[in-house]
Amino acid sequence: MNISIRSIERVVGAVGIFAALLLVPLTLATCWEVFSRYAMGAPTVWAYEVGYLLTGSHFLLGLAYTLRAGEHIRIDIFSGRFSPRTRAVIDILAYCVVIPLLVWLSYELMQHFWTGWSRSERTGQSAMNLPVWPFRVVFVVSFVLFALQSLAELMKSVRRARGVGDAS
Amino acid sequence: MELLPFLMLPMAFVLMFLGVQVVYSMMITALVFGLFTFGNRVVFQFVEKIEDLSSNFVFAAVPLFVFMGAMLERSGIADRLFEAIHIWTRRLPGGLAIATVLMCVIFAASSGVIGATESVVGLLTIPVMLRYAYDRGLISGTICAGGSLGTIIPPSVVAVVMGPLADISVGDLLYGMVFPGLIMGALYVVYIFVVCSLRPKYGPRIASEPGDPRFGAKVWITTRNLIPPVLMIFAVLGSILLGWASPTEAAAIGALASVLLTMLYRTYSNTALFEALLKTLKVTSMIMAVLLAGTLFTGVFIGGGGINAANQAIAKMQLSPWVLLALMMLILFIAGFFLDWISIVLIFVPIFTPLIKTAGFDPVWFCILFLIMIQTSYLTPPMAPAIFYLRAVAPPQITIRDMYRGVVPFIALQVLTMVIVMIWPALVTWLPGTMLKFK
Repeated sequence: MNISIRSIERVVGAVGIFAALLLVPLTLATCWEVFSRYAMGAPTVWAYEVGYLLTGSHFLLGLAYTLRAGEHIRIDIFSGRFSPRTRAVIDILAYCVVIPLLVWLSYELMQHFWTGWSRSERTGQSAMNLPVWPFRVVFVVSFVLFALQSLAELMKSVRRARGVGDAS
Repeated sequence: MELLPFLMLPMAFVLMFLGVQVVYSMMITALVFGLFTFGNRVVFQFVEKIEDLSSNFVFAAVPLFVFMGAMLERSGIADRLFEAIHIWTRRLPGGLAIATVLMCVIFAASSGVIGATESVVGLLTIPVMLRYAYDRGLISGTICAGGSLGTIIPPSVVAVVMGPLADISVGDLLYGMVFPGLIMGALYVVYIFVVCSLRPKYGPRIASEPGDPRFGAKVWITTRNLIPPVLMIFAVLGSILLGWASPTEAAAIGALASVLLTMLYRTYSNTALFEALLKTLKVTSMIMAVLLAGTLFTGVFIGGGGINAANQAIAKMQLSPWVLLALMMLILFIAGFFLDWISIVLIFVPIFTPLIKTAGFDPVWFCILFLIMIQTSYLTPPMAPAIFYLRAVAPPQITIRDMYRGVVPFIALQVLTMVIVMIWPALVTWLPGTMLKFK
């Protein structure tokens, strides 16, 4: 169990760092768009589409990483008073509902990708008119990772409920 | 009348209060009720919402504004700002507290979220104020109130999230909050000045010391420390307000400028940049996850007929528009006891805004009132993020009682701001209209 948790978390960590770095091209591309509009009198063809692709990919790929870091917000005003064991049991129940949902979503997103790929759909958002499938790959990867990290969290909660490994 | 959608709210609240992550609480609720209302088709709705939300370029402003703040917090700029401001205000009654508020205003104008800002400001100014024997309640109130100005002073991440939910432009919201934000900051300053003049013990005046810089030196320190960040703020807010750049583009300029600024002050390091990027990712994903789950939630709520039912119920009760407004504000105030801002915005903006439009109010004005109410919820115990952040950085001689006592006058000032904005809606609506003519 330890090994599977660790390997999931390693992949999630690497993807998270990649996602965090996407902010750099997002900033530069958007600044370049403003610069070329005013200084060169011609807005770029690509900045808008590249911009929203990077924005979406940034936070979607970061979902699992944020879960790993325990930064998805919780309201602990009441639950703070529960025992660690009770909290672990509540988490287990929640993950048991969420994981099937995330798996289902991943599956449908995969279908969604497949539709876009096999019909060679394009975004129609700008003159650049990118194919839709690369962004849909990001959806699939993000939700698969989100499901996997939820699974890792489930395993950690089970361990906590049994009172193993985590003294606090 | 369809009552089923209304059961979604209690279910989501129960899950949240059990300590389940907000994003999961909303997803689970949306799933259960979605399956009940739409059957298996609900998943297609979810897929569509995921694609819509992640293809919306407006939300790029969220990570960019968060990053701008994260970078500046690590840059040591706070020390320079405080130095530059307090050499001018230190001789006033409550001068250090006034300098703290002014510094918070500048910080709020250069980043979009509260929290880390408050910690930076607190770590820096609490020891100084304690050394000069300021009242501990006043210290707490100043830090909590000043540190949470980020919501109401543009740019504000809350506004970026709120605009699309309420179906109004983010730009209009950012214009609309300029005067209310400044009024709130000004009220804080006036209050501190008055209370310290009446009771000099609260914030004693500091006598001039032999080591004090002369006038010329003061001007030089101010020029060096204050002008570059203020220029950056004008570049960002100015380009939004003058319509030269969209909020998203201005946010990108600000993000770049914040890095350049740390280079100018020689505090840049690759580690600091990397840490700021990781921090930005976590904050952004947290906000966007709740936003995503919230859209799934409201999608099911609206699809199940929730908004129509609410409209009918209110029509039946025959509330006058102002009573309706007061009722909503009361609900928000109470919700603020228990919920964080992102949950409040996600749950109540989509439900309240259509009702407000039907009642004949201006939605931008309503959203500004909403933002002010979120401010009070930061300071109001028991769920008071501002106090949590303060506790993390305050030395032990400042007790929790000092904090609770200290925030009360500032909550009153926030309510006063809200009343002012209610009486003179032009404070909100004048600027967007005027700026539209310039473009």
